[in-house]
Amino acid sequence: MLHNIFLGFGEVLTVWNLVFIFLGTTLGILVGALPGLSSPMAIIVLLPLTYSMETIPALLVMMGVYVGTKLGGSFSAILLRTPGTPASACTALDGFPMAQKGEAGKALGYATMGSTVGGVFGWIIAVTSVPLLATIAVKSSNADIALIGIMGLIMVSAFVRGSMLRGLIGVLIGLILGTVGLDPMEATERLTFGSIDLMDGIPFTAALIGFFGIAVVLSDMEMIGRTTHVVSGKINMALPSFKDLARRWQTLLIGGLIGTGIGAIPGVGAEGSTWLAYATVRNKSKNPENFGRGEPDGILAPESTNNATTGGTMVPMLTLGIPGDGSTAVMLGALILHGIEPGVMLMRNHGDLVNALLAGLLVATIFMFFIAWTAIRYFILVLQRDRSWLFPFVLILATVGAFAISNTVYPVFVALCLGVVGYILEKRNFPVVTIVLGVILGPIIEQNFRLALALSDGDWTTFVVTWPRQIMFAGIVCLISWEIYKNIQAMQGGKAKPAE
Amino acid sequence: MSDSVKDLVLAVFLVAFGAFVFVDIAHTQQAGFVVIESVSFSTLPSIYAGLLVALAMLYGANSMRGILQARDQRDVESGETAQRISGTGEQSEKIVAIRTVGTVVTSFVFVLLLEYVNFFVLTTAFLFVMFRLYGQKSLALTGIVAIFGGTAFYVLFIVILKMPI
Repeated sequence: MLHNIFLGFGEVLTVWNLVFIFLGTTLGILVGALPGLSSPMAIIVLLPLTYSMETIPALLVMMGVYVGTKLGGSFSAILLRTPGTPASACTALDGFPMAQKGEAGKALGYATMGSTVGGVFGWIIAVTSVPLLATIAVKSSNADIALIGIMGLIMVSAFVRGSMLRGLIGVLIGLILGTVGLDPMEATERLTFGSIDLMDGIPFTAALIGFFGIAVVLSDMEMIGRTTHVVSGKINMALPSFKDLARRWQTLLIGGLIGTGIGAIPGVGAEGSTWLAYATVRNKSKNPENFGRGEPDGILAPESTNNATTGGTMVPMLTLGIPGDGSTAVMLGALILHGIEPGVMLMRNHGDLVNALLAGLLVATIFMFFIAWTAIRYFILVLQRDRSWLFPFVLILATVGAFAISNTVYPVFVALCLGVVGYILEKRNFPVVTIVLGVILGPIIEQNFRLALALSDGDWTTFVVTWPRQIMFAGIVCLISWEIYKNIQAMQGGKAKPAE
Repeated sequence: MSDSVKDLVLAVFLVAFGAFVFVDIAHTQQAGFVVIESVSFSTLPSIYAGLLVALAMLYGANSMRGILQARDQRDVESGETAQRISGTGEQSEKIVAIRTVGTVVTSFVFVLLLEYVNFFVLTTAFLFVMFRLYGQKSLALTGIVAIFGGTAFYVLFIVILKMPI
């Protein structure tokens, strides 16, 4: 294992790769700091620029963006009380009161240290578990992969923002979009309406660009023309002392564990995990009344969780080819564009890439710390900029990114149409990440589901024949039953909208 | 339009979409390469469409209940107050709606012309129109940034990356 890690670092520690990670991380912090812009969107914007690059440098830039956005979101949460990313919303609870008390530098210091420690924690878990799980994943059968995919979709529906009902509807829309094109086993045309373009299915990258790029720009129209002012004037970051951090080791540990654990659940990502970590730390605290009034643990917990998810999301992505969140979904898309098939064979066929990505994750986390520490004042300047100058550039980059998929305008139209669909659904609080995961996992589930049945002569008990499958099946049943139970309870309690 | 009404409209669309997929799949002819298996090309899409119809109906029922509850609780006086207060909000909502529709339309036109008009000219014009749409007042500044942006994109994608746009 150590040998592989060193090989990964050997791949990453070249001047150009380090420059790419540095640029990616800086861009990530910037994007994260700007409310409304997200990590998947930033990675999508990079797609046309990385087409002509080698696979490893291209993915390393994206890794830098991914890690950087996690911290960047906390800057605006602390200084503006407007989280840059949904996952950093929790940081505003204690970060903003600290900034109001004139301790903005200290709050930013806690956020930076929390993110760095969480990121390193997540990296350690990823580095130790990815090779092990990859070995197990290679042995998994079609039925196992189908069940993992279904469980991932049910979990993402249950844990994402909004209701499970909306999550499930989103997943089903994604699954239906995923069935468009030639059926993989019988070559029957499905939902193609005679179009030759549609026979290949909905272009996966165009869907990502539509849902994560164009839909986000359309959703953030309200931000245009708004200028914001940070709560404090001149800000210098004040990092907490080692002694102070050591005193708060439990918070960091809880954040790291929750972040990595939830990050590893396909599709769930950081959004929900930060609130869970915050609530856990507050419940364990001797002074829970301090939370919400500028308690440092209230910043450390969500920030360490947020960055720990970067390690967690790598686990399903690199071992099963299942994205942990929206950003890793776009990274999977980038892998496919570079001719690499993600999945259980990734570690065996492209071990150098997996090792380089894991090494890049740590390097990006370290860069994130130093960039934030030394250049915080420049990021604060960006926070106050108007979006009207930025969005047209994002739209052009998204358009060119879609065009470059096949050098035709067809994927661009697909991206635009899905962008409008994503915008409408986003406005009604449907988490678009569920649709994207449906599009990604749908074909994987269908192919493996049908192969499993074909190999077992149509015997449906093949899905419960081994104990891991029984556990997964029970997990799926439990999650659905729990949601039904919650709805019945809410209805009996007379709540207005039980399923909402 | 209230949130519940918007939810209901969306639910109707989703039910229609699910039903359309269900019917379309049911009428799809199987390809010549027939594979004997218990799950055919139409099984999973039919299940997805059926579930979508069912869940969208549940979503619609919840929205309907929200509408009925709101109607029961509606107080004429508070409604009028809310209308008076939301005057400025409606104004900004209108601007956001114009910008959203404008962005979609301009983007479609941009993509339509992508294969026919010079990339530099098209991106410069697109940037200029978008800046104006997003409320930038200064013609000179908008023009300079648009030309600068168009040049940067042209150099990056056509000269350096040699993309066949």
